[in-house]
Amino acid sequence: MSIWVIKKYQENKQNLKLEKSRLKPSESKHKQELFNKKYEGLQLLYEDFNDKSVKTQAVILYFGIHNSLFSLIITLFYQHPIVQAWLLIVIYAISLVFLVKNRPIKSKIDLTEMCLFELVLLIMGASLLARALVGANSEQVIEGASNLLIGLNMIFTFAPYFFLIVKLCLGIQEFYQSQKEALNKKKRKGSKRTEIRLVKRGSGKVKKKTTMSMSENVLDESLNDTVKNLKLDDLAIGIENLNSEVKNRRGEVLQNKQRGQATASLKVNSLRKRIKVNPPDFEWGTPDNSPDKL
Amino acid sequence: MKGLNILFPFSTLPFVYGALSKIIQYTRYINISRSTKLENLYVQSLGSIQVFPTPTLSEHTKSLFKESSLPYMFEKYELSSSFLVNFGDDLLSILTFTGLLVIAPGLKWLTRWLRNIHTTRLMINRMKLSLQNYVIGQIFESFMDIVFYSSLGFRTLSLEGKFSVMSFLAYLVCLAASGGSFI
Repeated sequence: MSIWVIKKYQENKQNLKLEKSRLKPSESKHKQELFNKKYEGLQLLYEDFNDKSVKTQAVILYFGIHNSLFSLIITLFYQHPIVQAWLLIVIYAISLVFLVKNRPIKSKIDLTEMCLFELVLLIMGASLLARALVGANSEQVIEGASNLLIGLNMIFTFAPYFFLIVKLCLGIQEFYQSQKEALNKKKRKGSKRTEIRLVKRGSGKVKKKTTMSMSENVLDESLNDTVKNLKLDDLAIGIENLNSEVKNRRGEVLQNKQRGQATASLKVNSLRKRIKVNPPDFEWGTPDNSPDKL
Repeated sequence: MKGLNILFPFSTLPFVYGALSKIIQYTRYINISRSTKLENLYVQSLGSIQVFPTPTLSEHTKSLFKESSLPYMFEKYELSSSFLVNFGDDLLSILTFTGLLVIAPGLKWLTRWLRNIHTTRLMINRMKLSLQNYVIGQIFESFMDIVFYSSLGFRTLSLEGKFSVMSFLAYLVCLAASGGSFI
């Protein structure tokens, strides 16, 4: 099942790679999320491991083989402790080299933990070999090797707790950083809004505030696209362009405002002139159908 | 430390750690001389820790299985030649969790039928996924034991009596299931 899931994962990854040019980054991310959701019940088999290839992702299979080989060595070669010790050393050495060379576990701290465990097992194998080679002849070697094994046992018992505490500390730090970043982002967004917000004065009596929400959205979208598709240099150029666009828009708005004010003043002037040139010729008197005339 | 498996059912590492810690304990079966201190440590670590109260095989049931003689190193630490006597408790634990896994979809259906609360359904779904990962992890962790006890069982294979046949069938099924979960 593990190989089957990992193959499915790799197939999905290959398909996403092929469709990279056609799909937007958000779409490919969504597809990956869909896959993860579909196989969430089997996440244990592939999630923690490096997804470079099937070879690096099938760690659980390697550990399965590693552990079953240990069992077989213990039960089949019980009459030959030296052979057992040698075989165990070979297995642990291969595992350690595999872990160091391929780095199959995503998290660095988990990888360090696994390497430490394998190293402990390798030392344990060496101590077993030392004891098997001397037999019951040298008590000093037996005592020393036994004490070493007790120490290794202690490491094996307490090391996971130590790594757990380290992971917790890192998690808290990461959470604090993300919160800080989110707060900064919020602040930056706020200042950007106030910069873009333009105050439009009305006909003298009412103050009208118009936010450039539409143009802001357009700017955000174009900025997002630029970030996703372009490199750093292009990004800098893009930001410059966007800045100039903002300036142009602001200029346009100011021009419109001035133009509006000018046309309004022109209209008022012409009306005033018309009133002065052709004053209404009405008489201040009683109307024809007033009851006095009648 | 076994509790970590339940705390992080989606993470493989606690299960890998569980399997590796068994390796350290199983070095007691290697026939070499050791100090009294180490011997005491091995004897102390014989009992297994149960995080969840799952059913175990009673002494009476264990006595029903036919015993054959094993090499000294294995008999010294009270190992049985029967697969089910050695692995029975772990097998029952795995079966209990698998049973819960089977019940989960029924529970989901029941909540939908009684009162369609989104949060309850979500919680049951989450529980089901966690259980599924946990069972896979348990099978992975027990793979070493399955190979170990089945090779001991093969060494003294005799199909006399229904309990011996049952034990033989159990280790065949366990080997197939755990092998299948890896490949």
